[in-house]
Amino acid sequence: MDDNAYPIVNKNFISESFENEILLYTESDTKAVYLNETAYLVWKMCEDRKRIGDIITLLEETYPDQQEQIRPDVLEALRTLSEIGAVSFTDEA
Amino acid sequence: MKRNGSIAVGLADTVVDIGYNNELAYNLAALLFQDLYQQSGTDACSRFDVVAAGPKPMLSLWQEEKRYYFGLSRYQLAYILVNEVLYHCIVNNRVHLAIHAGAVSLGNNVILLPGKSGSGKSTLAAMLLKLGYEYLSDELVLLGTGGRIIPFTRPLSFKPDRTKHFLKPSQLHIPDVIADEHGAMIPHRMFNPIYRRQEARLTHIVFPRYTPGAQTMIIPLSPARSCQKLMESFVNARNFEQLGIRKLSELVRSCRSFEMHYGETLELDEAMSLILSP
Repeated sequence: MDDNAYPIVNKNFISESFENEILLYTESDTKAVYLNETAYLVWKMCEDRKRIGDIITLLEETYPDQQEQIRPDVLEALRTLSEIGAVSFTDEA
Repeated sequence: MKRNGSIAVGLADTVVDIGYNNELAYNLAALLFQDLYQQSGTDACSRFDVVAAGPKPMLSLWQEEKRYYFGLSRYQLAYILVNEVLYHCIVNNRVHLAIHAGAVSLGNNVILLPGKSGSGKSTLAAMLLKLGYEYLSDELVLLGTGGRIIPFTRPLSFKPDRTKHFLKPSQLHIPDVIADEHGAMIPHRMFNPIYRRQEARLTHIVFPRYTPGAQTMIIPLSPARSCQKLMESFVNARNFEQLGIRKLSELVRSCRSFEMHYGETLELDEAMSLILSP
């Protein structure tokens, strides 16, 4: 995944919050994907049209103690979101 | 002596008429739907007719001119008929979410047992009935308001490999049991004679996973995880589109949820006590 790519969210996906956990689902499909706190932050920043590289940088600044884990966690979250069709990627802003 | 007539059965606002031509046919229909009677005179969305004829007797199941079954097997006719009624209760319902789930109660505790076919709902429900739990359903519930469930109360249905765990060979031929080599439907009163028709308020959600010989294991689930798994047990996705996730998320927040892996009855009582402990 290229740090300069922009994730584009699929607007059919809706989030439902449960304290520190999120479910992402579409109303036409009764399957939901479970997002932990990190994955949810990634999702929200995708909605704000942030580049992948900017998402990683922002989270590294927010959680300096977990810097080493941020990049793999973000990429994993984006992979999960992409596999269910919640995001796709483009090079254009 | 029952002659030809019909009974009205169904769930929530759905009514299906079941016609019968004689006492034998009536007994079969009554056995299957004795806990699902609806107000007679209400408009039925469909009608099926159970016909028993001749010395054997030969059984047939009809919907107007269409024949769904013809033969000697009470079980095969019953299986088709119950599933047709269940289908109509789901497809004609526009206001409830339908969940593939069993359900039992113990005192004020009402436990939902969601899961697809083969997950062990009927087996777990039967085991719990033998421990004194009261029966609500082994297959389908509708989610009402305020966490209440409307259960589809039918005889417990078992595949052939599970039947022998609950019936002795001598019991296979008693009139109240509907069984052959394809499976069995056993009245829930044979496991626990105490029954109250109720729209109960859920307190617990337990996702069963049966594996013969497995050690019993309980895994607490967060509301999000419970909601995610519950969505996999939806039957009428169209209603989900209209009603949304809100009712479901309110339900899981008001209940305690668990996944239960089990194999033997001996550990089940202790496991359920842990689940139900405050």
